[in-house]
Amino acid sequence: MWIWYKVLYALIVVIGGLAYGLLLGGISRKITARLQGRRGPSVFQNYIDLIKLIRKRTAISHGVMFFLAPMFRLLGGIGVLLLVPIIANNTALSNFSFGGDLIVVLYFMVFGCLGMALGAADSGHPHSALAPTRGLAQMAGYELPFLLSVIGLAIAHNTVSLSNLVAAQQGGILHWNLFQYPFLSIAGLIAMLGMYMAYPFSVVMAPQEIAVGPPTEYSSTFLSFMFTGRSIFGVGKYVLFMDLFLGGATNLVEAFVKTFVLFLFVVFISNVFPRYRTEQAVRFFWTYPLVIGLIDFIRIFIK
Amino acid sequence: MVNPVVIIAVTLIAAFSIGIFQFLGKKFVRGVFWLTILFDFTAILSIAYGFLTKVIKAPIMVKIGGFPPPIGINLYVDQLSAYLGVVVFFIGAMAAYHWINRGIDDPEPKALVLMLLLLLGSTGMIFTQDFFNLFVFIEITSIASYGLVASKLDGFSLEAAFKYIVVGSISSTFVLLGAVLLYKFAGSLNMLDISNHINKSMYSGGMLIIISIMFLFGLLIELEVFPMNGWALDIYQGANPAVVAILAGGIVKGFYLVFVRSANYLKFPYLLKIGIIFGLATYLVSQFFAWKQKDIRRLFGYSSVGQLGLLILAGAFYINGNLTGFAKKYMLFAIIFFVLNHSFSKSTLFFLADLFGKRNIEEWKGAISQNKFFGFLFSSSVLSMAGAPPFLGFWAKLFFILAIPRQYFYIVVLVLIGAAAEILYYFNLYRIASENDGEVLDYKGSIIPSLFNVLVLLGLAVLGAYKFFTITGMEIQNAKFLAFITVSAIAVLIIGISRIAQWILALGMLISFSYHLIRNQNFVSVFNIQSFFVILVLVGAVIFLFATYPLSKKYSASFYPLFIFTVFSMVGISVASNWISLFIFWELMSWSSYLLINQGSKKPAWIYLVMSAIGGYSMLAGIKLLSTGSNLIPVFKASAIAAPVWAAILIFTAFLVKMGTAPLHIWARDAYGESPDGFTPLLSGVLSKMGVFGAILTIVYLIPHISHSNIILYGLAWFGALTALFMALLAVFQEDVKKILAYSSISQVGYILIGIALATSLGYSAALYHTVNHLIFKGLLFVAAAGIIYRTGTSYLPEMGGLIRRMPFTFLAFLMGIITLAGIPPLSGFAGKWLLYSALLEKRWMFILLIAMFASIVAFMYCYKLLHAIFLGQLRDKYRDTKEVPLPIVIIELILAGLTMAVGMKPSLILRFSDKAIKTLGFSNPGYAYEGAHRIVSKFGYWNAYFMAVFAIGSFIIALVLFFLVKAKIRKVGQLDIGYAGEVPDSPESVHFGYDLYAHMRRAVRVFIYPHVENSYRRIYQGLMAFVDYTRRFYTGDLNTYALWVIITLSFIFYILYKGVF
Amino acid sequence: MVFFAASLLLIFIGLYAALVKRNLIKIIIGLSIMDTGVNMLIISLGFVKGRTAPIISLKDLFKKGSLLVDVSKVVDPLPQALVLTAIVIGVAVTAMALSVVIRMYSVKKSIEIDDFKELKW
Repeated sequence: MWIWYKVLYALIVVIGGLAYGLLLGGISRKITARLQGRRGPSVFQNYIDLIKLIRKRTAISHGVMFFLAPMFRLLGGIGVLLLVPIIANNTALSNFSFGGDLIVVLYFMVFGCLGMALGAADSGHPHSALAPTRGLAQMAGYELPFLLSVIGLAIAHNTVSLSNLVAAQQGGILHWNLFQYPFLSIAGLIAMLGMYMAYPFSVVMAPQEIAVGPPTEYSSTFLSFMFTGRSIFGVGKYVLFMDLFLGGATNLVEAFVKTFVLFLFVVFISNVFPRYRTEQAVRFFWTYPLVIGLIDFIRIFIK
Repeated sequence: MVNPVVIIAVTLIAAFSIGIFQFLGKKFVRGVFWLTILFDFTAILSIAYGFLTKVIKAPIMVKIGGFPPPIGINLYVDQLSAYLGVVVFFIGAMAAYHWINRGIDDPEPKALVLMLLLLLGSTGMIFTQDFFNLFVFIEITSIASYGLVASKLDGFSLEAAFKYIVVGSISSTFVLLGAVLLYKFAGSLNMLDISNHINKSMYSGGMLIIISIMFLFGLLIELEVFPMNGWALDIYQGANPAVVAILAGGIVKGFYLVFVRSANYLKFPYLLKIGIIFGLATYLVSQFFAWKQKDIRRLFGYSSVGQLGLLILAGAFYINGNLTGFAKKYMLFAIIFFVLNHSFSKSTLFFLADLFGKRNIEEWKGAISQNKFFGFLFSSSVLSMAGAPPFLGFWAKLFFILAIPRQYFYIVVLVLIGAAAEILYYFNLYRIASENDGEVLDYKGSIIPSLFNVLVLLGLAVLGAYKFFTITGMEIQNAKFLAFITVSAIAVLIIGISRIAQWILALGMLISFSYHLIRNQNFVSVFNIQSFFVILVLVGAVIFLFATYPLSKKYSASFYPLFIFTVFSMVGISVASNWISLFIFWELMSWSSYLLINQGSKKPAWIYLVMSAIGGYSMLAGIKLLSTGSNLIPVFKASAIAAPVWAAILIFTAFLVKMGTAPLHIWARDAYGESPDGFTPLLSGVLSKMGVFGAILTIVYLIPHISHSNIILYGLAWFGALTALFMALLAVFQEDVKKILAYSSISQVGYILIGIALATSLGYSAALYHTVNHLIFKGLLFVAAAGIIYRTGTSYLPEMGGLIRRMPFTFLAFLMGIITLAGIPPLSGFAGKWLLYSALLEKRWMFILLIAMFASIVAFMYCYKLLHAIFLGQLRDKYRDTKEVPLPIVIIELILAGLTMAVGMKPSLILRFSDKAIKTLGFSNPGYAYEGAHRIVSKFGYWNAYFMAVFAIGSFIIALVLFFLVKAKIRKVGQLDIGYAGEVPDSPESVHFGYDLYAHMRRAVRVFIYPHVENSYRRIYQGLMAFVDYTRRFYTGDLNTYALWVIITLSFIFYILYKGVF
Repeated sequence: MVFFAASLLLIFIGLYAALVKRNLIKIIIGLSIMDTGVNMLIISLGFVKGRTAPIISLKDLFKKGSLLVDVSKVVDPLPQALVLTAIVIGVAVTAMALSVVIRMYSVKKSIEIDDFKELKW
């Protein structure tokens, strides 16, 4: 019987995650606008956009993979959100994290991206196909420092279970990995910037160059699914980073605060930098964050 | 039985009668000639047969002129001389037949007289037991060969003949001096008498040393020993090939027997050292000098000289090497096999070289690919010459290596290096000859002598295998299995007229073999690591063989026999009971797979072969290190006693080569990429796993017993990790579907290597799981690629695109293969990654874990590239009517795709087998545990495959349902109907993004993907070539220098004796 | 001893010719000299000062009434027999060599070694 409770909670989490994700998107636009001296759209603009997209009457399809890609995208987003514990050891909000550990989450994160990339490629638009190659290349860039920090933490805490990682960080702010392993955390957080494709790592969807990258050909319902998936995915990743570096959360308020701080970190950084080219981004990730992270990594290795 | 002296007398009379009565006409001359040959051959065969059936028990002594030895001259015919006589006359007859029927020139009666005299001289030389008489026969032989060499009467042959005369005269001067001084010293000329008279202490006197050296040195010149062999090479190059065939195939062997026997009679104490110095020098120098040789006859000449060097080495060990018991017997058989192998295959090669007529090997393009039967004869001889199993040369080499005492390990190493060098140049020639393009060139003349020779060679192969297994006393199953393999392959070859019949027969064989294996209670009840790999091989083979059906039309008749050969030899590897049988089947696998790859593309196959040879021979050297004085055939478990580090490293090299581990990977890209499409799945899915199997054996049985084993294992893991990373990175920048998959394969096998190197039970679980899983998904991808190439006619990615519309099933299967490859849950790929990472975490190998995980991220790049460039994007106009890939391939694709899904949901489908196998490796548990029905727990984390699969599929369905709930009306638009700056693009090509997808990435990683390794190999090869090209100028072609080297060598021998270097 | 030294000298002269001379005929002459040296050496091995040739002649028969030879009065017969064979062989080799040279001359119109260096490396 518990599984149905789980499913019910999961639905709540997904809907909540979507709402939160869309809100974050709106806030981000607002902040950007204010920094640029504009008024900017309402913080609820993303809700409006989503409803608009869903209500469009026709959708254009380019093929089977094009058709399925938004499902993959959504599935990937939901999967990641549901596989990370928002509040560890809480029956409701530790989600389905019993299904797998950190390694599963890491690989499942690719699922949605792969789906989107394939759909984009199937659209037959060269820009859509170009964007995933940039994305994958950049991914190879940021994953190196990210994996460095993940492996470092796993070895340091002798676990790859996210719940156990959170449990290991309890007992005060100084037990957070951010302070226990500051260098690993810096590497991980820089990698996070890449993961969110925020400036200066925004070449994947660079609007001025390649339309909007993968979703160029998508419209109406398809785009709404993409959009939904992306929002949920974003929230899932914030939660993951919160669990990894900021000690997880013991209640919902804490979770909101911590993810919001991470969100602000990304937004503020992305608003003050110009854009890297792909290879510049890759080289950047393979040098500074890696070297910084290695300090803690070697410390753990020797210990 | 015929009195041996009759042979000599009859031949002599015949020779003179031809000379005198040649006016009676050609028919008379030929008649007398053939009758004599026939008589001699029959006579000597009857003697040999008598020895063989043990009718004749003791050596035959024939008194001449009624005086008993030692006063009178006598002949002494023992087993070896009788056998050698048979060989000499057989080759002589073949050479004569070849000469008469080659259609270029007709041998004059004079030539036939000389031929008879040559045979007579060499027979007498072998038979006589009198030193002076020996000199006489040597002179008869020499004069006859001078004449025959010169008989072509062109510049080349006359030059060669004159050089031969001068050097030969010097040589015979030494022989004569030696014989006469010996008489002065011992008071007798009878070999046996002298032998009784001499004992080793007499050598301290000095006189006897000088005498023996004079005598043996004269023979050494005739034996074409470096550095006094320039004349011999000139003969091989310049003389009539028919003459060369008999000289190299028969006469020189007579000199060899005489040399070894004389040294034995003289009790020459320095034979071993002389043999090692000159034998090795001759062998190595000629094997390397041949690299740069363009003239095919001189090339064969180098090879002949090299073989003689090896023979001298073997003979020295046999006579003077203090070999005991088995080793002595092995060495004797090594010598016999070397002689037989060289005589028959080299003479065939000279015949064939003559028939084809071209001297420059560059002109041999298409020689064997366009003349099937010629090609068969040529291939058999070359394979036998290069020591490919199951030909005689292989058994000879194996016996030789086994027999060499362990303290002479450096000889083993040098001989094996030479053998690899030999393979390099022989198969460079073979590569050119099997090239498909080039004008149709035919050979002229009769191939009957070559055919006879090759038939003998094939018979000898059987004999060699039989003798090897009976003498070494290895388990009879090995021999039976080898016979079984050969018979199966021949059966498939015989019905070569119809590919479909071959396909059915081969498939039937594999399936019935598997069926019988499964029915075998022993096999099922004792499930161990070997059974695991047997099943892997058979399942993979059946699946991939099935998929070859549509492709088989364009393959030659030897495709399926070789396929069967490869598959069964892999089974042989998996069930091998000791290192030697592992080696035998390993070599079988290497060679048969080489021939298969060679059907696709030549140069990559050649590189594959050379690398395999290096690997195989280093394994043999390692096995040699494992053997002890009493135990020449090391078994797996007993090698626990004392395994030197080097043994493990050397043996491991072979496996690393097959696994394509960097930096031994250079063969892999092109060999995978350009082998026949029907074979590549087997190559990647199964054959590379034999490396895995061997690596597991080594790590389980050898590594624990050596010092620094932890460092070695850690190093291996690093090799695996770097391979996984860099090969993945290289794959990203390939533009050929099979080459991407090739790099991907090596990269994946790198993961497996990491798992093995962990040497923990979880590591083995990961490795074995991934082994099977890689078979499934890489097989799937290669099979699909084969189908796509079959339909589109290209493997070049930028040529493809948009094929999802034409090949939906293939796309589906390919997509699942890619998801598995990328290790994304919920398909089966993830389990392997999870197990491996958990194992690495458990062992705290953080850096390797980092690299391994990062490599899988890099892999996403080429995964996407494959899917995009083949199936997505714009469909080209020329593929509008392309059909889905053929049905058998679709079936296999879907079966494999279903498998990855099933295994992804329930990894225990594979893990239950690997668990059993791991238990037999000495572990109590597989390193992980089940918690509940599906949750797998390691020390670090947990993972629920079933849940993940249900979760993913469930969510997907929910997403789909949700979509249909909210969906708008969907309108399908045309292919070119894209948002393209408000325009409609004019052609699919103009908007298809399919070339150099990762140009940006290339800029970031340029330094890592620069082919450093390949360039280093190339530089080493070119450097060696340049060195060889420079040093081979040693053979100036100037007669004076040749004579000078004779004197220098003699002085050198005396010098080292004087300085007491010995 | 004199014979011994002389024959060695001959052998070395012959070798010298084979090593140094560029003319084919001269080389053959060298080989012949070498041959002679060897033959002399063989003879000298069996030679014992003051003894007669190991030949049975009719004269002996009439003198002593027996064909038996006093072994202590004759030199070793075997080397002489060997030399006979060796001389024959030497002649055969020389003949063969000379005929090859004739053919070589007819092909290249030269009997210099430098014109016969095509087979090499």
